[in-house]
Amino acid sequence: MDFSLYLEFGPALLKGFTYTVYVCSLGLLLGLVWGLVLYLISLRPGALWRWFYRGYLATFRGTPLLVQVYLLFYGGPFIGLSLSAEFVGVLCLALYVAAYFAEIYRSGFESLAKGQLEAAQDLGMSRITTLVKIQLPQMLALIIPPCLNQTIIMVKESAILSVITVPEMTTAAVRMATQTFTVVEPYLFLALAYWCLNFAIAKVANYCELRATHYLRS
Amino acid sequence: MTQQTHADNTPRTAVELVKLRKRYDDNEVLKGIDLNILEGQVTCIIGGSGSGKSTLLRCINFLEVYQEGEVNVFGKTIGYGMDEQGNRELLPKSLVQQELSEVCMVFQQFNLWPHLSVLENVMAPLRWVKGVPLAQAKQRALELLTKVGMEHKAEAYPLSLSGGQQQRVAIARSLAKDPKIMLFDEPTSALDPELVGEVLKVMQELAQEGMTMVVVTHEMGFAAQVSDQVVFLAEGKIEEQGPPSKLFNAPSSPKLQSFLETWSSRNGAAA
Repeated sequence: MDFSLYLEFGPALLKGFTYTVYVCSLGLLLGLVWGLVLYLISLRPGALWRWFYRGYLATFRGTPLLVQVYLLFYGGPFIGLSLSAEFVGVLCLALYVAAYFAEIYRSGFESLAKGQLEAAQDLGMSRITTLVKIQLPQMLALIIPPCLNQTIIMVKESAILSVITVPEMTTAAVRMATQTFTVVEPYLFLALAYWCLNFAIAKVANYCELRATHYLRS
Repeated sequence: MTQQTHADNTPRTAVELVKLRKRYDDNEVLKGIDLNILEGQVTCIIGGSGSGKSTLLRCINFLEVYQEGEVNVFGKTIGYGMDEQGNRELLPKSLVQQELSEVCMVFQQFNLWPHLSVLENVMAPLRWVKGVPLAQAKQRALELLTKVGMEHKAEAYPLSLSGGQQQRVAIARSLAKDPKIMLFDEPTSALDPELVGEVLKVMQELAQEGMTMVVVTHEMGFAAQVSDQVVFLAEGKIEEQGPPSKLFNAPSSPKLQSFLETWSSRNGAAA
């Protein structure tokens, strides 16, 4: 182990780390929103919407992220889509994770007892009030754990973006490995960095879950 | 239909069912129901399971969409309007909700919202439907909770309460809508036997205050004591109806006779 290597490559690794945080945050945010849109699409009557939704899930859950990233980045130019590596990276993470989020939302909404909504309707509550005051607060509590799982998976999968040279931390570590002919030092850093990131995410999610499920324990 | 004048003190019709029919695909559950419910009266609907009694109740507040006939509440047909050609058309949900602003239902499973405290549950219709200011809504909600004897649990969450307590809170929440007609869908069927009494007591008080009540129930004692009218439903039709004294003491329909025999032998054995 040559710890002095960290002095030399520290700034580059740290820059990669912040870029990973940036790409993942953006991917997560877009994924959460796009997942909700997908879920709403799945609710629409009509075969076309249903087929679109099923096709989407089949595509993005049924193929590896690595393949999706390669195809969009290297195949894109053939259909006139010349996108930057960073853009493809964020886009692929969002499209990929949204497929899972959509199904998580579905399970959340469907697990609420139908009677609660009947009571809301009977008491004269509008659909939007029912959604905001009755459905969402309970649904959020239910979906935090599966969303956390999915987010952690996404953060780890973001390492794949290094294959299209997105300047995130795996790219930085691989560069360090090839320049110094070392393996242990860069990958030890990666292990620790991903672990720290996921540990922090889990802490935040657990706190949110505790807050959101307060009513179940009192 | 015009509203009757109150000069002669005759109660006006609160709910009128005219040739009401309801189907689920090929299965007809209500096969032409005609029923008049007067304001201020308590009507109990009894019958075996699958007789259509809950469906009948749920057609009144349009939680079930009926296909034929009419449900009229204070003379106004619920759920349907006329298009330009004079054909019957389904009204949008928000409009139906407005038509039903004086009707409220108490459910078998209470259907309280578990993420809101008892007080917040009762305040919800005040705050989020009627737009009552916070302080006023809180005061009114506490009054209603006192009425059902639940003010001491205002800060508790529904899941920490017994079934009987939850149902009393649900009644208070319904009252927050300020209804003229209350529908009860087997309000004590999900309760442990020792908790039934506290809910029936609250309902009895409401009846004494003159609330128009339609109650689907298996509590024959309650039906006999409190109701003005009992309706026996069998296979989607009204088999017999009349004052409780007549139905319970001298039932004329064989179906009702056997229904009551089964009921009393089961309850006699339990006692």
